[in-house]
Amino acid sequence: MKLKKYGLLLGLALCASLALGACGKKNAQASQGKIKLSINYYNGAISKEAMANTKEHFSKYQLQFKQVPSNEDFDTKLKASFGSKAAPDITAINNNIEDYLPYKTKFVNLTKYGTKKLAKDYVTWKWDSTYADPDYQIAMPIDIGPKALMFNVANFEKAGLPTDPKQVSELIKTEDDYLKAAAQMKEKANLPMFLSAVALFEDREQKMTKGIFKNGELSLGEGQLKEAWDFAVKAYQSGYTLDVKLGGADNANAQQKGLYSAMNKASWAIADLEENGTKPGTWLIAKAPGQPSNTGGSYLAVLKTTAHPQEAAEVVRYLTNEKNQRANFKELSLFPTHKAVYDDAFMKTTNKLFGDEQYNPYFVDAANAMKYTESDPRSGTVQRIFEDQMQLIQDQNKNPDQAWADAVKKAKTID
Amino acid sequence: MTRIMHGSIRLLVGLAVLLSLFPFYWMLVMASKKNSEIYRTPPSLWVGDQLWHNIQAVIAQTSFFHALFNTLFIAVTSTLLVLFFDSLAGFAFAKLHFRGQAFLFAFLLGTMMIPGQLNIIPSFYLMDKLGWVGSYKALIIPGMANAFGIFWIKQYCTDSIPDSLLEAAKLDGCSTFRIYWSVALPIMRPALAFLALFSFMGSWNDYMWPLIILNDEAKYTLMLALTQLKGIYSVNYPLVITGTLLATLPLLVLFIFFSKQLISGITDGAVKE
Repeated sequence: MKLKKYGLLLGLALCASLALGACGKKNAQASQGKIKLSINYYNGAISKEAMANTKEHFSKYQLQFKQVPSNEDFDTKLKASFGSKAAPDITAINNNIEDYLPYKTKFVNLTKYGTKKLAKDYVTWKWDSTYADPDYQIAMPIDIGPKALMFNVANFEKAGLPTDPKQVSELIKTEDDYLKAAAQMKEKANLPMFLSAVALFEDREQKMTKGIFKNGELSLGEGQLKEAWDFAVKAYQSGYTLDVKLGGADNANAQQKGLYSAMNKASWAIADLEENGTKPGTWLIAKAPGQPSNTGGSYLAVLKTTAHPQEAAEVVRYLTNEKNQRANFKELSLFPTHKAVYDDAFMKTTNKLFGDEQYNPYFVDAANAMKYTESDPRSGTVQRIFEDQMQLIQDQNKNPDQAWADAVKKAKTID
Repeated sequence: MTRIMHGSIRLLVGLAVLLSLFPFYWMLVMASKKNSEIYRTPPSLWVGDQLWHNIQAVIAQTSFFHALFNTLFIAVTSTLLVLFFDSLAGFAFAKLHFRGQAFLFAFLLGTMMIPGQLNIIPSFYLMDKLGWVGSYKALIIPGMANAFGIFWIKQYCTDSIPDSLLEAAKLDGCSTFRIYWSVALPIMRPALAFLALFSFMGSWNDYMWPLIILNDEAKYTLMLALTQLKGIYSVNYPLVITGTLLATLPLLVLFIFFSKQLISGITDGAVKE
């Protein structure tokens, strides 16, 4: 009796497995006829409206948008599928495009499909970042994350600093101005200006105009990383930092309650403030001090394994055009890379969080002023070494000189 | 004196139970809040009023029931196959004597020393060559006999199944498979119950392999579907926690069910020599 019971269960399992295999074949047969293109993307990379526009525009193709888990998981899946029959035709790439540039042969060269003439339409630095070499473009840009200075109105008022965004932009133009304002904040309001030494260091790292590596050798931005380091250490030692971790509940609570006073943030941080329940009028936006910088922004690329490179390139061009970037901005607040979107209506965008302030010009300024810095795929690893040491200064009061020396020693081991 | 001791032990056990239950309670609290409430300091310790709303949002955004069915199918099928093949191989290693047995067992144990991550890319290429990428076959078949399960069953068989019983069955005219199926397998029940639980949980919680293998959202497992709640720039934590809570419930039910099985299995009439 028991023999029959176990046998039945096992039989059922095997039958189901076989049935599944058969299902796959049936679906494949049903899709024959039209050119089929699959597009892998992650939550928040492409709006539903842009997808619908594209499906409608290319009704002669069968487009399959597939949402894949984001960030490292997306990269793992993409890298594993290189060269596989199961790879998508088109894929999104996050802002870590430097990881993919050395593997340009895995991607279709989009310049072969007439993309060079589109260069003037897109934000220059982002466009430049898509080239593995002067004649090989592996992707087209979707969005960027230009940064502006968000300041806490009540804290600035308490410290006797201006609260009008234009005046703040005028007063805090350079990194030195930023530190002077922080000193005034501490002296007059007894409040920290910055979230933490680590956050400040990371912000300054993004402003570097020279790479961590030069011609393949560790160069630490030819002194710029040390400048960023010294800036963060000075702010920390002078008591200008709250020293709460970036991201997470404590940071959100500090933003709500104004426990610190200023932050250089990408445009999408507006959504963070909305999500974490910050009251309207708590923060306003001004021009970021010092060098312009950016956090985030995705791309779309065509994989070499596709059977239809011409058609896939057409789809990528359409998905990143003005119409679809407008849709992405409206639905997901993705900051456009297509300059035609920066029209009058865009510049006059307001948000109830900031009253009637028209803040987009500050982000657009940063987007246009940025210059592309060639990045080595090892840069992120080296930067994390220095950020970890900064964390030790912040959390365990480690001697900054020792921390720098330890970080340099470890960075030299990265090949 | 003994009454005081009994009371203290009960109190301690009660406290341990409360401590163990707290993470589940906290999950419920977080799942019943709005995103803005999650960030409040000090946090509220009481259950909020958004649970139903969050459950509806998770179901709407992730094809939850579809993913639940997919995961159940994969986990149940994998578990049944693991139980069959591992018990068969474990029994053979414990009770049959054949040439190269020691070498094969050592080789099998050796495979346990290789970190799973090292296997991912070669396994993917193998699945790609077989044309199994995107199919459940790639999730079920490679894992249907695993070294740990075979080792576990082998150890159990060696300790718990007396050779005399197998010899008696042989004298009665049983074939080797019949001895395995009708004599050894029922005795293995406690070990199989543990292996079933272990295997089911492993399959239920597996993330990396399904991530790489599955390409069609309609085939996503629960773990993959839940990560869709995470955007690149922002995370709605109450939705993620609600999803996690919903995904944990079937495992909890299973654990409660299997814990009874485990205890009854252990106390079932074992044969003594």
